[in-house]
Amino acid sequence: MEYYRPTSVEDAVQILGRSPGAACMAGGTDLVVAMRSHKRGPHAIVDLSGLGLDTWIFDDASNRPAKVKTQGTKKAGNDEQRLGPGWRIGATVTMAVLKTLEDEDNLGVGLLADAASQVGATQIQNRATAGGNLCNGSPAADAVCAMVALDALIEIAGPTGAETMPIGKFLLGPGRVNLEPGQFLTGIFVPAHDMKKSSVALQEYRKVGSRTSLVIAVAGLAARTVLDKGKVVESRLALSSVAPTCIRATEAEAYLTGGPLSPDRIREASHLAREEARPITDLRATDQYRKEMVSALVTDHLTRAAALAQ
Amino acid sequence: MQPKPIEEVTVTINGRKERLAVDPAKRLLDVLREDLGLTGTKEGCGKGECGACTVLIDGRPVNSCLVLVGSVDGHEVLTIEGLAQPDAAMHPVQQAFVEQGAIQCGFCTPGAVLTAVSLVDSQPAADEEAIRRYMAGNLCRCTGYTKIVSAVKTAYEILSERKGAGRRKKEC
Repeated sequence: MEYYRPTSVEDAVQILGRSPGAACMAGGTDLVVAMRSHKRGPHAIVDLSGLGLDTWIFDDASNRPAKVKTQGTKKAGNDEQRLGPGWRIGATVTMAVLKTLEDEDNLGVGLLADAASQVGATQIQNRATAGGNLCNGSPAADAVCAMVALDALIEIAGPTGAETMPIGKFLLGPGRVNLEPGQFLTGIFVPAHDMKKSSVALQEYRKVGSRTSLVIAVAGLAARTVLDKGKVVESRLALSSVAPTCIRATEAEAYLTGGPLSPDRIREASHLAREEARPITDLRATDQYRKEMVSALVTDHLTRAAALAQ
Repeated sequence: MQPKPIEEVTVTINGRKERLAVDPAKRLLDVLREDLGLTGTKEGCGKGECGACTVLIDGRPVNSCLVLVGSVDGHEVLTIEGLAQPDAAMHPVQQAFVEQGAIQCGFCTPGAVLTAVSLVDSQPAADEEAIRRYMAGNLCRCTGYTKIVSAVKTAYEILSERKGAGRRKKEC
C-alpha cells in the first residue's frame, strides 16, 4: 500500500487526482478500524496531518465580503449566503483541541466543545478530528451533531477548486458524504450566533449510551435554546443516532420559537421531536426506545432551559 | 515535481531517534512490538476501546492500535519501557501504582500508567471525578479501578512531596 503525507493542499489534490480510490486519513481512528475489519481496503492512504489544517481562528468577518458563494447540490446550483463572524476550524483539529474552545458569550461554539468532550475517551480525543468525524458519515457522530445544530459550513478542496457547502447538503446517509472523487474536506466554518445582552442561553450536547465514555450514542441531542423576557428567541435541536444522518428537529424548533417554556409547551415540543426522529432498530437499541430517548433528552434540556430563565 | 509516497519513517522512540524502513501503513503498535521488540505495549481490543496499547505521542496519550506509523514521522513516542531507565528510580506514577497495589493481572497497567503520566504532567491537580474521566479510556478487566484511582492520587502526592523537597534543598 502506498502512503502519502503531502505538505500542501495542492499536492494532496494532485495525489488524489491520480490515485482514485485512495483513502484520506486525518486521525485514523475510524479508518484504521475499518481497514482491520476489511470494511475498507484502499490501495493508497493520503495522510492529511501534514497540511497544516490543525489550527482554528475566530474570524470577525472584517477582512472578507459579507457574502460567499456556497455550492449546494448540483441540482440546487449555487446560492449566495450571508456570512458573518465565526470560527474557522481546520479539518485536522482534534477533539482535544475542540473541547477547549471557549464560549463565554454563548455564541454557539461552546456546544461543539461540549460534544467534542464526549467523543470516545482521552486517547481517541487526541487523534480524532473535526474533519474525520464528518467524513466518516456516522449518524451517531457527537461533534457532527453539534455542527448540524450550529449550521456549520463545510469547506472542500478538489480538482475544480475550493467550495463551501451547508452541512445539511454534505451529510447524505450512513457512511456517505457529498464529496466528488478527488475532493477532500479542508475545514469547517461555525457561524457565531449572536444574542442580546438581556438573553439567557443553554447550549449542551447530551447522549444516551451504556456508559459515559467510549460509547456510541443510542440517541443524542445537541441543543441551543436562547430565551429573552421569558420567550424562546432561538431554538436549535439536532439529533444524533436516530436517522440516516444527524438531523434537525425543525418542527419542534419552529413550535418553540416565540413562546414561553411552559410544561405544556415542553411536552408538545418533545412529542414533535420524537415524531421527527426516524430511528432504526440495531444491536444498540430498538427504534421505539430511541424515540423515547429523544423525547426524554428534549424534555430534560428544555426543562433546565426554563429554570435558567427564571 | 510529483509528490512521492513515503518509504521510511523517522521517529524518536523513548528518546532515541529511529529511522525505520517499515511499511508506513503498519500500525504503530505492531512496529513497537514486532520491529523494535518493545512488548510492554499490549494489544487488547485492537479497535481503540480498551487503552491497553496506550503510548504517548508528544506527551499525549493515544491508542497505538489506531495509529499508522507513517503519521508519527517527526514526532516523539514514549512507551512504558522509556518511562524509567532500568537502573534509575521509578517514575512517581509507577511508584504510586506499586505502593497502592494498583495491579492485578497487569495487562492494562502499561497503558494505564502512561495515561496517568500524561494526566499528572498536563494538570497540576485533579480530583477523583477528573481522574476517572481522564482515565476512562483505560479498561481494567480485573475491575481494579479503585486502586488505579488511588494510585493517581498518590502520584500527585509524591510529585508534590518531591517539589517540596526540591524547594527545601534550594533554600539550604
